[in-house]
Amino acid sequence: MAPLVALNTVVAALFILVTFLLMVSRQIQSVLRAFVWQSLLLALSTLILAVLHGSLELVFVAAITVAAKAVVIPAVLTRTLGPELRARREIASAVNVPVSLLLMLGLSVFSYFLVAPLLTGGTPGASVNLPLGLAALLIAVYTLAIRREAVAQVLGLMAIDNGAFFAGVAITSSSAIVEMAAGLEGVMVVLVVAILTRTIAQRVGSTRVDTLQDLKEGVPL
Amino acid sequence: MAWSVLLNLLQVAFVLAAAPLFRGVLNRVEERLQSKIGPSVWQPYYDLWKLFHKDEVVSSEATWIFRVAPYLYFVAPLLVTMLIPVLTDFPLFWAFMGDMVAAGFILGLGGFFLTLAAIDGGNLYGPMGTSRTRMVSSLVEPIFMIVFFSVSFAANSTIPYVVQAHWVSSTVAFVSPTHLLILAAFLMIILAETGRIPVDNPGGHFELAMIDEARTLEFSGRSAALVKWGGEAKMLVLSVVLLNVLATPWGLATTPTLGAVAMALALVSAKLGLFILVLAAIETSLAKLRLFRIENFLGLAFVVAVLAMVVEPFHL
Repeated sequence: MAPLVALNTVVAALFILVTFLLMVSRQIQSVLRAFVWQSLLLALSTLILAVLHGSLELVFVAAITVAAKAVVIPAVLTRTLGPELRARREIASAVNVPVSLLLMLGLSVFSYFLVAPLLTGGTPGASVNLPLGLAALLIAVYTLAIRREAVAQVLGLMAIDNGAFFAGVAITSSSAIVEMAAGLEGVMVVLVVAILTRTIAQRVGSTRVDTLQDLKEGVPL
Repeated sequence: MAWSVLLNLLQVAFVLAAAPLFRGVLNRVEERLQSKIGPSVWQPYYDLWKLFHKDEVVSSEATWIFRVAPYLYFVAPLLVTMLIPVLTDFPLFWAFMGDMVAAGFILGLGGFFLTLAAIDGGNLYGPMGTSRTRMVSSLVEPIFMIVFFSVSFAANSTIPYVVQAHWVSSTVAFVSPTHLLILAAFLMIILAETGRIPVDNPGGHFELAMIDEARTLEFSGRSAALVKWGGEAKMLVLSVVLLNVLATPWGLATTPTLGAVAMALALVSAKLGLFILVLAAIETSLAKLRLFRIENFLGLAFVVAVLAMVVEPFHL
């Protein structure tokens, strides 16, 4: 029991570290790699909680997470957006990294103090997963807001999902059907956005969001 | 008590003797990872021997600072060695003379004088390296402070021996997020402070790109040897703090017997060996950051360190 709680805590610490990496990485490949690690850590934490609570459904949830987020979504992105993913250029963001880091720190502290009243009497898993999951969610929202590349934004969107699930698996007896639906939905979202992004990249020659802000006539087809 | 003093001196002797070997093995492993053969692991010793037997040239512009600085830089890590658990678990003679903050200040003092000497020598590259080193250090020092705050918050002390005992005594504390985040931040600032790869390239010979190395260009002969040896000792001491106090606080001698100390010697060497593999993996898989990207790297370390402190009260 205690060693498992301890292991879950370790996983949670790594989870928040990877979330920070996801935010500060400057190349799309390393963002994708961080996202895969984040999903794997989410699945690991789910698995530990499954053993802790003796819940078979959580095992399914972990399996679906690995399948959807660590295998299918990266594969879909690589298939549809191969050259864009491998581009060795830097992702532009609206706010520079040191300021972002400080803001992210503020978000983490904020989420801790937000959930502090809820933690009394909670399970040991919840007292770790809830604040860090919420922090990851807020950081991912922030990432989504400041990244100026479509692909990085998609991954930010999926990271929001990861943060929400990281908090969610600890406090609810989540249903495997809901999670399966969410996993499939995530894959569909990524597929649609990836295809859209590829089309845009082919037409405009870039996936930078700020070049797409205003409609211009006579954009070369 | 005499035994305690003796053991303390033994620790200093260990750091002095092992520091060049640590550097040598690290270089060799890195070269091997890059499919090169690399110099012998004993090369740092040959270098020191050679430098100690060479004549010294001192600029006519230089003042006494230039002559004193190498000695201070050399002595600083040895003083720190007396404050930290290198081989033994129990506090030795000097253990309560200073805490981790004091250790940081002592190392900082050595670096400060080396910086002064680099300007003093009148070499063009000296002040350039100096301003860069100051930039990195002024970013690293707050992180050091926050790490120490987090440590004292978690372990109720910043005396290295007490902190080490705290992590050994409680598994729950050992695997807490605070501890892991402290570890991550400390590893990052060690890389920055000792001029390793994401921040500085220790193998580079291009003066315009140097950060740490540029301060030592003007030294020759015995001074150069002392600076080199002091730098190696500093790296070893910081690694020992990371390993023995924070990351793997086991395997130290618990009784003041010769057998236990010999055992600790072997175990600490093994831990250092494993750490070399980790360092080599980090250094060969990353590229040196651009100068103005260093603040991002250190910003991440800062955030991780502050988070470690924030998280602590929630996981008791």
